[in-house]
Amino acid sequence: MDQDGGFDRLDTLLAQAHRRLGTLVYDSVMGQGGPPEPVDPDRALGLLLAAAHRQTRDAVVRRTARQLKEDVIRRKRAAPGVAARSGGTLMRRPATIRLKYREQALRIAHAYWPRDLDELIRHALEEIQELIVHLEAESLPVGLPAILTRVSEDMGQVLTLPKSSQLSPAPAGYDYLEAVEQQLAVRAARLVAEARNSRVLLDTELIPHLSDGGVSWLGALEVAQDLADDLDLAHREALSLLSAVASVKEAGTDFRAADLHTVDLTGLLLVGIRWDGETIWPPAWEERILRASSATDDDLGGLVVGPQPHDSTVGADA
Amino acid sequence: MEDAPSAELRVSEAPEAAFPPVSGRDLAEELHHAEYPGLVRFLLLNGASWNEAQDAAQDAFTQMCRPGTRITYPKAWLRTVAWRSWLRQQVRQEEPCADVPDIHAVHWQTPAHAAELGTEERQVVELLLKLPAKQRAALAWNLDGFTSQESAEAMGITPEAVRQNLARARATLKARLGLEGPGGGQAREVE
Repeated sequence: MDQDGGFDRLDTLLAQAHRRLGTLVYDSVMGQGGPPEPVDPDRALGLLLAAAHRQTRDAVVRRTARQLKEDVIRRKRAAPGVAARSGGTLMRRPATIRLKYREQALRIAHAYWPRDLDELIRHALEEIQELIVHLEAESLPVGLPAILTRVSEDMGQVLTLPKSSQLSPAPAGYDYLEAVEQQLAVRAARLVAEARNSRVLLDTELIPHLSDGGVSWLGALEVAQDLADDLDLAHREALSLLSAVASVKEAGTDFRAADLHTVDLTGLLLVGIRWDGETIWPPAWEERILRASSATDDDLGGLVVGPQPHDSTVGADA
Repeated sequence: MEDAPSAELRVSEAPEAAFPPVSGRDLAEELHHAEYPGLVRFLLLNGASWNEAQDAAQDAFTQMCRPGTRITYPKAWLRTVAWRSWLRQQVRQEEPCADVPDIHAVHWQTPAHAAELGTEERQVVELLLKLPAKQRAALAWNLDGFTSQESAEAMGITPEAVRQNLARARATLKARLGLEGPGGGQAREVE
């Protein structure tokens, strides 16, 4: 092969590689839906800003949610010793009162937190964020009506939170339950207000925007972004309510180092109480409670009362 | 290949008349479908990864849409702008963006790893990508059908430098591909 032949062969090879690569790139580009539409710099900037804005908000939401949750968990597992407890106002109430109204307080807490509302709202928020991404690309996600209905229903669940549950008259310590109720009701009211805003926006603006024959992308996008903002606020309120619920539960659960020897335990719900060597039980109950308890699994050295010492069982034993 | 004195642009397939200066927005609408893949290929041959090439190509079309942009030779213009955009990407060392489109249509980042290409083509591309940047660029312009004069203007160097880079690139490729004759080793200057 002489030199010219070498270059001819090189040219053939290069041309062939160039052509094949062209075909490959063309196929790949078409395979991912064709070349992206050219956009004005203004619009490109708008899209970039919107995406950056959205991602920052998501990051903030995720981080605050994680921090709040961590706080709640940390409080639950407060380091051994009374000093490390959350110090919530309810924990400062006398242990005897907390024990006496424990069951009612826990029931109230459950009424205000029937399920993981923060997860519910976060999920709704994610659905709407997904929708925003689609709207930015001027498309609609598959199964959109079902998604919107689900989000609306989820918000409907939040709206069923009690406004203020009816308290049955109690002879004494009534104000403990009032304090519990109040702590939860204030936050629940804020959460319900945000959830209602979201739902109104969803039902009266977003759904009509998207179900008309011709979708107005910009209008729908704006409403969806407002809705995401509302849901974000609702999510924060949900976390705030969650931490209040956790402090109610803590006040009704944590009886480490508490002096309970004057309390009449008959008829009280004892299951789930956390106690330790410094807790003073009424002498007649001490051994049964010890027998029914098991070490907690979070190596704080405490004990948790198991399902055994219900009043009827203990009564029969006694 | 000889440099036409006036034309900035020569296209391999058909000699294309220079556009009268047209508004960038209209041009982008008209050209983006046809020119986008070629632009991506051009950047790939310059050494861009698949994602970088797509970003830069899209950026070039975006810049084309900028109000007041008038362009006479759109293909050369697009390549120059996209190439600069790609260089800026390199300089900026952008943080890996969380929003990288999650598209799995393409499994390769450089065409040297594209299983869809034949072994021979892959080898050619791989060797080509190992060339110094200037030689790679000269070859990429050349393969897209631009004259040395046009490439020189786009790359901001002299036509002689383009020709020299091209000749060195070809000589290196020829040697590495084992295409040299028995008496070889002495690379011929092109043109």
